[in-house]
Amino acid sequence: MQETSSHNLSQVKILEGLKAHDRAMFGHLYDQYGAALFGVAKRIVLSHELAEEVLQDACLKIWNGIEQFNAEKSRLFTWMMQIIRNEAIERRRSRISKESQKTSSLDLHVYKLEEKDFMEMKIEDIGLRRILEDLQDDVRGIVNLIYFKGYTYQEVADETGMPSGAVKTNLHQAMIALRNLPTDH
Amino acid sequence: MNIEEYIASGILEAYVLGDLSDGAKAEVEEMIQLHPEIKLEVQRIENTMEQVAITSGEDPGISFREDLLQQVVEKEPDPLVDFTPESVNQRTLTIAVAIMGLFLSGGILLYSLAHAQRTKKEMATTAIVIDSLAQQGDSLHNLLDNVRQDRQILLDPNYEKVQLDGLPIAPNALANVYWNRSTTAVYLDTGRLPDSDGDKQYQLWAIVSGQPVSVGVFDLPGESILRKMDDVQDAQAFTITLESFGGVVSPTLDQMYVSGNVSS
Repeated sequence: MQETSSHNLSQVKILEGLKAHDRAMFGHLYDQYGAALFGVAKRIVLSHELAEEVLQDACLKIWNGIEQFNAEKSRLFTWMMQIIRNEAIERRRSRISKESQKTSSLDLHVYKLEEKDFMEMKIEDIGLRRILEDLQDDVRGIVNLIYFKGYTYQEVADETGMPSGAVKTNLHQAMIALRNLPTDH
Repeated sequence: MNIEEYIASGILEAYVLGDLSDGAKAEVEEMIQLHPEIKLEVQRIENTMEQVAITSGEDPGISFREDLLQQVVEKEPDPLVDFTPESVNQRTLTIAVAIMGLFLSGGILLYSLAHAQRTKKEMATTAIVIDSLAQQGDSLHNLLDNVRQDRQILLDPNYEKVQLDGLPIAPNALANVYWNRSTTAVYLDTGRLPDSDGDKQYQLWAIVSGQPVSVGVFDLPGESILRKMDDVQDAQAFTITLESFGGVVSPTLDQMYVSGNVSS
């Protein structure tokens, strides 16, 4: 509980403002989390323009649906992250199905579940890169595919042949390691 | 499965990411309710995912921010927006319609706001004017009352008028005393006397049996025409001196401004 309290105050304030439809507060919310959410979206849709559309739609859902957020169940960011991930994943799928109708091919680069390198995601933060580099290959591959690129556990299990239980524990390992991320941002 | 195993299974990360079926999600929520350790673990995962997202964030730029805030915030909830993606063309069309609607409603909103603001300002100004007119009305009313009362005294034959003429210190000065012998009431019309300084006050004297008797002090300029002074009996003359604030026991002779005898 202790470790979340420093965030909770501002979250409470932001929430009050949003629920009162305080427009300035939405600006604060965006300044605090807009870049984080945009990063989440862009790593999934792999396009700056699409990521902008996704963020825009997600923000509309956040602004209009703030009453549905339950502070008892999760942090505000978690709720927003789930919204933007779903938006981005849907956008990617609809694009892939559209392109595959044209090309009759599922062999698209965005759908390749190779680990690839997380360097291409332009993670500039040295602390974060160092933690990711130090992970075991399997663990790094999973955090890359699920957390960063937004593939579902099922998709990853199907494509990599890794048992879904192992996919889950690998991501758990990664998240434990990422707790050591310096939080002086 | 014990709690450590449950946590290590990684199901909580899937829960935070929103990648669980409704049934599995409900089960996790039940476990969170039952076990504070699990709740704490979920909070840790949330914090980690938030920190990683912030650390690996990317700012889409200031112009995007402005467009977005305008688009999202200036807009009232609109069912048009809550669609599920179908085809890109249809979506683009829907967005275009939404944007047109947005500009339209934004324009109307801005106009109404500006209008409301203006009306509000005008009403505030009007209220101030009314207030100030009411105050002016009150003070005019009071003044009129005073004038009426003064007029009663001036018309009253029981009041003798004693004209006080200017003395060498102020040759052009002039004042009138209205004295009622039977009631001993004294009113003073300060007429033409120079304004008094802050630390000085005029003092009206009656000469009774050859001796000066103080009838009160006053400042100039003053508000009323006639001032009610102290009562005095058997006055032969009146004179006004300029004295230290609060008045003195006996008049300063070289500070006499006006003087006049009561006609016998």
